[in-house]
Amino acid sequence: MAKKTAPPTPRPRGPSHTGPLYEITEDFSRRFERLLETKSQADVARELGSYLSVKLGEPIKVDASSISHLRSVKYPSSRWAGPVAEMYKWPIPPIARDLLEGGHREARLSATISRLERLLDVNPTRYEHLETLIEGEALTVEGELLSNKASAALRGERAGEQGVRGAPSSSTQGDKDDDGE
Amino acid sequence: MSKDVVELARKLERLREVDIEAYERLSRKIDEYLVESIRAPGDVRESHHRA
Repeated sequence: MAKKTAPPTPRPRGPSHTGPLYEITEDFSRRFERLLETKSQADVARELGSYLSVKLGEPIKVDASSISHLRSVKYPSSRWAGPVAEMYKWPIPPIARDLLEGGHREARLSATISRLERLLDVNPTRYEHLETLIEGEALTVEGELLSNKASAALRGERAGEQGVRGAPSSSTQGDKDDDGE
Repeated sequence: MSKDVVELARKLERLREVDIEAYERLSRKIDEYLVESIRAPGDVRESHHRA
């Protein structure tokens, strides 16, 4: 009988950002906004920490000093969790970071726009400088990606050549398959 | 040159998706600029014009 091994499925990076994850994030945002209005900094940090720990199944400690920053941030409740968590570097493990950021691409963009606007309001002369920096990094990254792609293609080509030189007429998988029968 | 902050932010976000380290480098830079601009906006503008 032919022994077939399924090719390894590439694991998607990060969780899927819909359904329950999104609901948790929404719930988290609403709950936390309410806490901010009614409780002390330390209480909010503690409650938020235990809430996230339960939801995510990992012990998460929220630093109380982060909370004071949050009070001054005015995001719509459904949108701030990801960007704020990221902005203030909460001690949140990667799974939670993914969760909080998940499904919030638009919110991240909005947070980035706010950050840039805040900077450019204070110092408009930074625009060109920032643009140059960002485009420079983007070009470097693009170059690296192309270079990696080219190297991978080259490696594949070499492996293919070696395979053609070293292999018999049928494939090794085919040989293995035949062993069983 | 038009100052399109949204476009700039989009570029930054695209960078985040392809290279988080590059994004974080820039992100730190933005924080530094913000801090130094808030600390002494007049000085920064003047030094920029002088440069």
